[in-house]
Formats: sequence, structure tokens, C-alpha cells
Amino acid sequence: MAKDVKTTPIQFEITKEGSLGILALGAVAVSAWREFKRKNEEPKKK
Amino acid sequence: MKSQKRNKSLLIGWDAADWNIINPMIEKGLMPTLSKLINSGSHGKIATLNPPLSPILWTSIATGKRAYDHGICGFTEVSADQKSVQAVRGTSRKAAAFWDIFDQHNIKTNVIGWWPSHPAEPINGTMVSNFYGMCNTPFGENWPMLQGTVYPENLESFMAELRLHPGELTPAMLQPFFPHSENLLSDNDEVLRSVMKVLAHACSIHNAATWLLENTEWDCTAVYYDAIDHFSHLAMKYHPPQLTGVSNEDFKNYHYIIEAAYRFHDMMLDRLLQLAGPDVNVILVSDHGFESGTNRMLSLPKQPAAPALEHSPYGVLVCSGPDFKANDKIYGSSLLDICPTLLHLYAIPKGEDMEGQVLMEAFRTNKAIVTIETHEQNKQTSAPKLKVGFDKAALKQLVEIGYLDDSVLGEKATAKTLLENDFYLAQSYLDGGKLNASIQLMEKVAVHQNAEVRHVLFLCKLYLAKADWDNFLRTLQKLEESDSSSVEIDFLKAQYHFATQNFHKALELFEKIGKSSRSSALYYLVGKTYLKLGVYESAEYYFNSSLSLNKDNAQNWTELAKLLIRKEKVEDALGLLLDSLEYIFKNPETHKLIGLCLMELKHNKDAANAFEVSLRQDQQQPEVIALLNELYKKKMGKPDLVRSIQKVEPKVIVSGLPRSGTSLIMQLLDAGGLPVYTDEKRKADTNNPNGYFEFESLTNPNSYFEVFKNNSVDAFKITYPLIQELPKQFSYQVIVIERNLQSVIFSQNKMKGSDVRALDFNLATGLNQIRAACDSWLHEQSNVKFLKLNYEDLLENPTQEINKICVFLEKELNQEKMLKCVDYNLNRSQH
Repeated sequence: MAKDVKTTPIQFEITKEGSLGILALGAVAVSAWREFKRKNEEPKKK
Repeated sequence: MKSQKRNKSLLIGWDAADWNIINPMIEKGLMPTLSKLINSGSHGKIATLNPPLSPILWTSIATGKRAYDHGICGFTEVSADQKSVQAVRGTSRKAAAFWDIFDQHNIKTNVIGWWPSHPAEPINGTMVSNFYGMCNTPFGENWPMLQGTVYPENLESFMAELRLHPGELTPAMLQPFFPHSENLLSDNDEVLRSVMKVLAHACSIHNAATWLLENTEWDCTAVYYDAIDHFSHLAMKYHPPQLTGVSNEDFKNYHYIIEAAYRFHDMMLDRLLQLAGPDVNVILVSDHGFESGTNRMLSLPKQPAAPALEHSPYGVLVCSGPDFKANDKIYGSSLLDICPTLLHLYAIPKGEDMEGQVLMEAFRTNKAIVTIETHEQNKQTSAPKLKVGFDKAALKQLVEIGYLDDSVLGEKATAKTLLENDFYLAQSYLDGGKLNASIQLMEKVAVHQNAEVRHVLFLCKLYLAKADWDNFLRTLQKLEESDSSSVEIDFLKAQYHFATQNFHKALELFEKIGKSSRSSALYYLVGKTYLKLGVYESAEYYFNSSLSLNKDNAQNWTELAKLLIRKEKVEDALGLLLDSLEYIFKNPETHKLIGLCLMELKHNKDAANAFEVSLRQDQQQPEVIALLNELYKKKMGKPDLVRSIQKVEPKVIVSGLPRSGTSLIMQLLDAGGLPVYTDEKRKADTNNPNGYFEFESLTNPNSYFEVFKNNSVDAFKITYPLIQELPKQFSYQVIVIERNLQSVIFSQNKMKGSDVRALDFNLATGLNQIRAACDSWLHEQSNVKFLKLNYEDLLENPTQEINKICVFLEKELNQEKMLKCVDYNLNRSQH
């Protein structure tokens, strides 16, 4: 992490569909969305 | 070398962003982030460069130099082994970019997506190349990242995961682009698929940029988004108002794309600013604008880089942050100014070999601008070896987005690429004021077996610009014999008639052309023709018509203003001129006319300010100095502000290889009555019985500036290769004397006391290279006119050759006395 950099908390609702807003927030949001999709798909696979 | 602690900077590139789209959106509240950035900083239009091709332009932004100096001349280049065509590489750049210069000053830089930047360079920081988001793999399959995409390499696999594949995009993400076309989102619509590809690429770049902002130490982060350009080429034709020729269904389905694209960029900007923090200087820039009005094209001609025809000459510039002024405007900026301005933020000197300037008017405080000769000696390049498959994928990408046709993948690709890049380079020379260099290059292009009509057309326009009528007419005849359009040929002919004062013939042709086409350039020329013929009402009509099609044409504004002044409507003229400043600020004639109007209205102080602005933009305006002096002396009672008018004569230089006959030319000029600059330190001898006509310090280039400054009318002898050291501050008339190389070498040997007549191959090659380099240099200088003479011709036909000298210098010299200097037998024996 860069020194003295605070990560601003991201407040948005993540759904499987995602949104343009998630894409606009960049790496952290897209990673969180991908993780959300993965977790939500796993129970179905089982 | 360490710099002092400075504020961080964030440089954001939005390819093709245009104020004509942004301004209405801001008014509707659709781009709140950009609106806030503008209000907290300075902004304005920024002029593009020709040719307006993105890899050339973004390299100019990064280096402060034009294509002929930075070496990136097109979308593609020929590989080192000359066997294939490859996408242009960042490592082909031969000038230092700002990240190279920052390296030298221990400034950490992140560079994401810059065009071109593949393969990623080993900078002090992180580089993610412009092929990072490139995707030709179906969703779900392995998506390899091209070798050399990320520096340092240990970040490669992590960064690869941050890329977004178009297949990941969901209908919810695409809905803002197609809000009333839900049916499209499940169809295999071609426009939809293109939007997905462009959007995904932008998101990949954005993911990389946001991650690096948050997770690395950096002083400067530069991120380039090409998406607005691609969205614009795809969908500007569908943007409101609906164009004739666009179906209602297409308009209904696609007319939100452009707005959605810009809104998404505003959202991404918000995130970048949030992560960068409050004390960061932000520069947001686009490389050119994009036609969005009546000049939009529904289809493009079949030629390389045809999409560039949709570009418009002015992009956007916003500078905001602790070092920039708030709520202010920047006038007259060019892409070449970004690099010097960025360097100035870190107190790094601007290179004197950078054409651009530091945009001082944007800064809060006026610190002195420091310069150094160049940053180039410290540039280091290392080109990692890449796998062969890389270029095919990259070229396919460029073909798919319409910038290349598929001939780059064909057999004659290398020859065509070299030719096309020379064509772009010639356009760059012209844009940089190097008309002769442009002509020299295009003369080679036009006779190539792969030359096309548009190449010959461009050469013809160059001859027109130079008023070289013999070559112009000869080339025009070739065009008439080819299948080029009669409209283009008629347009050239009309301009020729205008230039040679046949105004009625010009008008006849302009009117014929006007029946089938309309353009701002055509209407402007018709207006000028009517002006020459004294038909002022028609002239006014056509200038107004031209302006209605293109408000960026400064000359229309000034011509209309002059017509109003002629009608004594001074206030109307002033209003018009002040309006024009919104579009074009850097036009010395506009400010001169504003000054004249204000003088007429007795606003003397404002008039003086306007004249001062005009002079800052062009110092060579003796008539403006005279007007200003009149104001200061007679109307404002400020005689101390009066300045002198200096008419600047070009310096006369005699040059060529040593022992080519330069002393003879100096002798001729001296005999003819032109004072020659000499200290007579080297006395006449058997090698030069009539004297050398030299000055000792002229072999020391550092002395040139002072010598020229202090001597206004003499002729100076400066032999090759020192001719290339002529100071840029003056203009020159250069007489070059050429002689058979063998004779030159023998004469040089004889001077050294050697009677060797055999040709030393290495020496001959070396002298030939010097001659070629100096010849090339002469062609490239916009402040040099030159005349080439042949020594043998001078001996055989002295009358004719001496007359050429007098015509070239535009001086009445004593030709009779000059003739007496040419002693055929004496000069022949100097072999």
C-alpha cells in the first residue's frame, strides 16, 4: 500500500448483475463483484 | 538527480474528448466531476497537430516534439529485419518522454495504457502498455497477456487478473448505452458487440490505474483512455440531432451511446481523483476533438487512417490543483505544451529542443522558466525481445477498429507501410513549417510504385503552397491523367488561378465546385476572391457561410471584421473579433484589429494592450509597433514605452564542403559590392591566390550568435558541416557551392601538401555523408532559403550563374566586376 493513503470505503450494493457504477470504481469494486458472483454461484453448483 | 518535494500530478488522457459534447452535458448536470474540476482550475481548447493520428499525437504530448523529432510516424512500422509489418512500438520512439526525464530526477511514475507503449519500458515506477486490455479470445477461454505488457514483470500475472473481458459485461452494465433497446441486449447486434469491446478495454485500463494509485508509491500517474475515440467513431453519426441518412430505428437504438460514454468517463474521473487525493495537480487532455455537428460523416473513403477524417482540430485541456489557477481560461495551447508544463510542475527545465512552451498563464505563481539544451543525451532504451505472435494480434486489433486496412497483413505490406509513414511524416514537416522538407519527402513518395492519387494530390498542394508553378502544373497534369476526382483537381486549379491573380477564372471554378460540394474552406476562398474583386457584399456572404460550417477558422473572423471596419461599423467589428477569441485566441491579426477598433473608439489603454498581445504572438509586425508607438507617444503620454522598429534582413551565408569553391563565391560577392565578413588572418596563398575571405571565430559555432547580432549586412563563409550550427534566431540566405567530390578531395590533399590523386574511399564516403546531412538540414529549416550552384557550371557559364546569385539575393550587385573574378584558367588549375 502507498504510504499515507486512505482507502475510501466503497458504499454500493453488489448484485450479480453489477452496474456501471461498479466498473467506474475500478479494481477494488470489480474484484469484490467477481468474488460476490463466485460465492453466489458455488451453492448452485453443489 | 533529486528534485525538491513537489505536489503529485495526475495526467489523464481522454482520446478525442470534445468541448462541443462536454459543454452541453455539463449544463445539464451530466458530468458533475468534470464540472467541479473545471471550476477549481483553468481550462481551454488545445490545438492538435497534423496528421491527427493518435500514436503520433500521444507521443508528441509525452515528448513535447513533433513526429519528425520523436520518430513515431504512424500506427504501424516495418520490423527491424524489414520483412514484416508490426504495430508501432514505444521503443521506436527516439525522443525522451516525460517518464524518461522523470527517471533522471528520481520521480516515480506510473504510466498506464499510453499509445504507443508496448513493450512496457523499465521506468522508475510501473508501466502497463497499450495492449493490456486487447482481447481476441472468446469468453471463458484462456486469455493470455502479451509478453512485455507490464513492467516490472513480477506484477504481470496479478495485473492480468485485473483485466475485464467483454464477456463479463452484463445487461445492467450496458443498459445506460441502450436504455430503450432492451431487445438489442440479447441479440448479436454488431454495434452492441463493439460497445462491449470498447467498454471492457476502458475498464481494464481503469482497473490497472486505480490499483496502482492505491497500491504503489508514485509521484506522477499518467493514464490514457482511448474509449471516447472508439465510441465516437462507432456512434457519433447516431448522436442527436438525427442526420439525414440515419434510419429512425438506428437512431432510436444508438443515440445514447455517446452521452453514456462521456458520463462513464466522468464517473471514472471521480474515482481517479478520489484515489489520487486532494493535493494533486491534475491535467486532463485530449489529443483532438471529434466532429459532432453538420460535418459528421456517414461513410469513410477507403484509405489508411480514414477514421482520422472525423477528427476536429481542437481537443480539451483542464489544469486543476494546488499549483494551478482556479476558475480561469487557458488560451492558445498546443499538444506540444503538455510535456514542458508537466516538467515545470517539478521544477525540471524545459528542453530547448522542445517546440512546446510551459503554459505559464495556467499557474498560480509565475516562477521563472528554466531551460536546458536537451534532455536527449540521457535517454536510455532497451527493447526486450518479443515472441512473433504479438504483432499479428496487435495488427488484427487495429484492422478491426478501422485504423488499418487488411493490406498490412498482405504481401506488399512492408513497402506500403514505409510509404504511408513517409506520407504522415511529410504532413508533420508541413505542420511544423518545414515546407521544403515536406516537398523533398513527398517527391520520393509520389514516384513510388505503390503511390496513390492522394499522395500526388498532397504533393501538388505543397507546390501550390510554395508557389512552385512549374512543378505544380506538371503534377496537376499527372493528376488529370489519373482517375482522381475532378472536384479536387478543379479546387487545385482554382487556388492556382487565385494565387496567380486570375480572380475571374478562380471564381468560375469555385462556383462550379460549389454546385456539388460545400465546405468551409471552399466558401472562405470564394469570399477571398470576391474581396480581391471588390465585391464586398458577396465576400461578406461567403465568409459568413464559411463560418457557419466551421467557427474555428480564424481567418473568416478577421476578414469579416475588416469588411465591417470598411463600412465604418467599428463597434460591430469589435464585437465580432471579441467573439472570435472564444474560438481562436492565438491569432496576432485578430488582436491587431481589436487594437485598431479600440483606437478608433478612443479606448487607448485597451488598444495598447491589444497591440501588446498581438506582438507577443508575433514580434515581426513593424506596422503594429508603429501603431503602438503612436499611442504611447502621442495619445498616452508615455514616450518611455516607445520601442524601435528593427527591420531584420536575412544573413547571407556561403557554404559547401571545404575546397568546393566557397572562397570564390565570397570573392564574387565582395567584388559585386556586398561587404563580406573577414579578418584576413589567413592570407592568400597558392591554394587561394585571391584570398580565403574567412573569419577565425567562424570555425567556433559558439561565436555565431554574437557575430550575427553585431553585423547586419555582411556575407559570412561557414563551410559544411558547421552550417548546421546556425543560430535559430536569424533567417538566412545560403549559397551552397557544390563540386565534383574527387576534385574536392584532391584539392584538400594538395592543401595538405600531398599530391595524391587516388580516391580515398573512406574519405569520400565520409564527405558524402556530411554533404547529405547538411543538404537534408537545409531542407528542414523554415528560416533558411538556399541556392545551390555547381562549381564547374560557374566556370563554364559565369554570366548565367552570377545572375542566379543576384536574383536569389534580390540585390543589385556589380555583375561586371563579379565576372572578372572568374578566371577560368586560374580556377581550373585549382583541381
